[in-house]
Amino acid sequence: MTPTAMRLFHRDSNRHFIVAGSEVYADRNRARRITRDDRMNGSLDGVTRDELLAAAAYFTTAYELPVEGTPNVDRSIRSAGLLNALEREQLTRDPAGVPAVRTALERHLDFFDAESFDGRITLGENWRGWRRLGYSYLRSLIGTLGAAIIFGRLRDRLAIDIARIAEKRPEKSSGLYDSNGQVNEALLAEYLTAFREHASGGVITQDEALAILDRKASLGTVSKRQFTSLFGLCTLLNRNEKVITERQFAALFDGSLLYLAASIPDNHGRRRASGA
Amino acid sequence: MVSGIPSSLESAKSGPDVLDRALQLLRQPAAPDAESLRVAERLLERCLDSDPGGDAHAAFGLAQFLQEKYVEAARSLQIACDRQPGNPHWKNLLEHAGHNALTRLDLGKTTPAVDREKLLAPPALWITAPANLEPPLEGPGLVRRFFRGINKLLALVSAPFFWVLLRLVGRHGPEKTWEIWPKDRWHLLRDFRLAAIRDYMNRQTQQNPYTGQLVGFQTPGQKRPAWTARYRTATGAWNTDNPMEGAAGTRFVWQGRDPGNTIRRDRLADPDLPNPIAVSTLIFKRNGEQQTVPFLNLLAIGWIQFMVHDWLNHRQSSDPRDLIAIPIPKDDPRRDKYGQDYMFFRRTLPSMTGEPFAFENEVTGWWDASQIYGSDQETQDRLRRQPGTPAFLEHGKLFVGGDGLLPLDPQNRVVDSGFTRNMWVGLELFHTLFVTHHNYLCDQYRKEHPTWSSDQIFHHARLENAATMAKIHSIEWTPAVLPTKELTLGMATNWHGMIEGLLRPFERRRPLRLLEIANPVLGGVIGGTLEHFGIPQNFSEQFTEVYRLHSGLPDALQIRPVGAGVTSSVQTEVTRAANSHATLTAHGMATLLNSFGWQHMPALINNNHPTFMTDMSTEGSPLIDLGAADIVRARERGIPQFNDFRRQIGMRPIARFEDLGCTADTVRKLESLYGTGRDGVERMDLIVGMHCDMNRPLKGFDQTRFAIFLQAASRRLQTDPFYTTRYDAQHYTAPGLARIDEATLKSLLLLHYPELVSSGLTGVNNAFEPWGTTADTAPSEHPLTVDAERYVDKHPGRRAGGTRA
Repeated sequence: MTPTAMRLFHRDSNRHFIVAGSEVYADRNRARRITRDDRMNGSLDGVTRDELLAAAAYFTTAYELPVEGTPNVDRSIRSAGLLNALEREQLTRDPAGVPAVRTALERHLDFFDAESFDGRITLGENWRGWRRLGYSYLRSLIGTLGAAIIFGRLRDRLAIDIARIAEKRPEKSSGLYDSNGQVNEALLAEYLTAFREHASGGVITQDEALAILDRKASLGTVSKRQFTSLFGLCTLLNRNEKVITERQFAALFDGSLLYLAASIPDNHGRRRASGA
Repeated sequence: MVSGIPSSLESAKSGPDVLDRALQLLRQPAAPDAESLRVAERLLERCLDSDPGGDAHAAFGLAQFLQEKYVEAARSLQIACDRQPGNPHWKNLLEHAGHNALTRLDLGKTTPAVDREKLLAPPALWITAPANLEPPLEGPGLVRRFFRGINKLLALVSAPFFWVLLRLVGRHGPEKTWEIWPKDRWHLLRDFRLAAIRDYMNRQTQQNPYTGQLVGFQTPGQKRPAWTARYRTATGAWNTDNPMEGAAGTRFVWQGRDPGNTIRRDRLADPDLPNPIAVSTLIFKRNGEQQTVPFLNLLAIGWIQFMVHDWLNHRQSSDPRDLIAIPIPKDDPRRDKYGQDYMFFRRTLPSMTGEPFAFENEVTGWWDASQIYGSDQETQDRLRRQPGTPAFLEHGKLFVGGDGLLPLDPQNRVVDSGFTRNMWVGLELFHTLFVTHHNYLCDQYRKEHPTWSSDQIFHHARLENAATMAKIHSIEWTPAVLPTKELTLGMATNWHGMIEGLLRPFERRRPLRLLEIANPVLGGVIGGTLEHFGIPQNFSEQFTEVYRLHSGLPDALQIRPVGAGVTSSVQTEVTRAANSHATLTAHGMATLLNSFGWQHMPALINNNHPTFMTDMSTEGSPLIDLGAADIVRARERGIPQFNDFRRQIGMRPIARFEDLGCTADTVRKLESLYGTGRDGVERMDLIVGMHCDMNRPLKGFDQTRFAIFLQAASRRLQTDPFYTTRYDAQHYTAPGLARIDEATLKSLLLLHYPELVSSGLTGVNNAFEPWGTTADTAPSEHPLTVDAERYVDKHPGRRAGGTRA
């Protein structure tokens, strides 16, 4: 599917933008929302409309799926992910616009929605997402059913509605994410410091990683299970060793771990279908 | 004050004080100072007018020599020698300067800086899609697809059998298996034991330098250019779905059981290890005549260097201050000869991330003939143009001059090709041969596919040319160097499959049959399944170390025109760099190929380095000892010492120097360098151990070297789609595959240099065997033909083919 709208982040101005076709929208008031009235002409805080259009064109040319955080060549502009069909419609019709930034959880879930990009993860998409991560048929089936039962709705045939995922989250907050659904940066910095203290050869064991997480935040059963599941992915990535690298550790939080895992080819040099 | 000259000496016109001072300035400290050389040169210039004994001219020449002004140095030293003909140091230095003046090492190019941003950006940005590509050729038909299914089914059925077999023959563990395999009575069993070791090494001793992420820290989600599934790219990128796997500028793999970071350390800083120059003098410097291998000719050493330049290169720093200073031992005559206390070696360029002990491969890590096509788009494009013209040559060709030789790079006067560092005539022969072959292939494709664009022809010719090299290396060079039954069958297994290797003679083997088990052992790696064993492809640091084969180079080349005896001799040293091409022009391809074919290759043993390598010059380094450089490189890059190296790859360490099977004299030398007892053995450098190890069941070289080779020989094929899943008629075309099947080095040489039909080449089966004899006249010089390889069809009546010398 060809992306028609994408979020961009300009490093120097610390501003968010959306490029949709030939239109550029900016988070002018830093309200973390972008509306159709925020159309941008000329330049804003040192970044021009043409630069943003060029960056979007670059991401579209070089990437099937410009994962959040992907930089352009001079690293001044980063991709902040694509808008799904629902968001694209919201941007054009809803005066309230769309959030300037996806939450970490939404980014994580977007991975499973990469085929239709409509904001809903059907059972089929769910299953294929697990398979893209390199899991076996059985493991994928268990993962699909588990996620669908916990986060899906029966009346939607167990599809997961990404926009309403917050309603399905456990009530107890782990403190890992702030009220906007973004990573708690201060806590993440603490984790990374703890990681480096424990790391040997750039990796720590997954038990150590879980202990670090548990020490600094109170993980409920669901969170613990989710982390354990993500650690399993790291095991696949790390040649069946139960360790985790710093990059993977950080990727646990910003939602990019799944994209990273799916991008690494298997032993036969083949990447699983990207879904994009 | 005259610029740069100390005020205390400014008033002195000439005299002993000035000469002494200048010589002091020439004696470089551990942190070399180029300015002091310039000052010394200016001071000495004042002394030249009153110099009846030639001392000032000699010192002046030395100052020029150390600044790489070799032409001027030779002139000054000639005057010094004329005035004092009996001075051996000056004479020697004059000869050295004269050689360097011929080879124009002073024109050497600096290593281009690494463009970090470019390497981190999506690689598709730096490769150019071929223009006017026609749609892919048709895939396999129904019958072939049916048999492909059958072959896969057979592989599935045979897999458990193989799993059990490898575990059974390797049940003693790798250490013990390394010891028992040469003693097995049946060569087939010996092969299976080696297969078990290889299996262990693939699974247990490879470490990913990019654990858990894409090679080269690439960003996920990139779009793969569709054409890269059909052809090789200039940079090696997008050969697989891991965008930068094996691409130029990505890290070498580390081999070993324990994590690299627990093993690698700066061994240059280890005070317990002996001075590398002292080691080189005792272990590498030859004492008498250079010993040669009876069964190999000089083409074998030129070939392996040609291959290594396809596979790997560590960049060296171009910063003149970024040098490793190794003190020249007090009793070393080079101290007086060059007036130096230190020898300087350029540092290996660290990784672009600055991480310690992570080094990047300058060239593509695929077997893709990058040494003639380049490892970047700009080089590839340049080689496809006539110098000075903007358009590509027609029909996909590479530029070759009217004389059939390659063009010169105007900057350093070395031939322009894909990778040209360390050029000498032995390398240039192969560059010329395979560029010529590329153009021949272009003509064939043009005839077979008249509608193809120039780009399409170029890319097909490259695919075929690279595969031809890989085949020659796999089933001709390697068995020639290690001429035993098990190795010959092992290499045939890699390329053609074991069944083919056992049943058919050399000329009738084919890698692709309608019915063959899709198993890398039974059916062969070629055309089989792609397998990474969890680690993206690149060559390993260990691979680099074991391919240090400088002792295989001779001191002089015996020039022997076709059909004649030796007419002259050329020192190998003067066939380097800019003078390589002049040598080739003077004698011609056929004469030089014939000369290389006759002359025996020096043996890969201790005390056998060519003499010129003990004090030679390279670009940017007026004085280095190449044997010492080999040791410096390993220590600098954190390569373990011999015993630890063996432990890391699953071999038992040796307990005493005597275990190497070398002479008592060599043991004494080793003890004097490294100390006696277990501690001494543990300190021995890898390359020293490999050269002194005379336990060589495979003849050509030692087991430690062979261990790395064993694993890499199949891995570099098995990880490459163009040798596995894409090695078929759809990608190579049916005539292309047939040409690869027919090609041998002998056939290529006879095709492009028909004059060789009157040479000894026609009398040998393998072009790497000495051409001066045949298997009938000198069986010991052709062990491959006599004992190991079946060239003759046992049933000649059934089919044509099968020739024997």
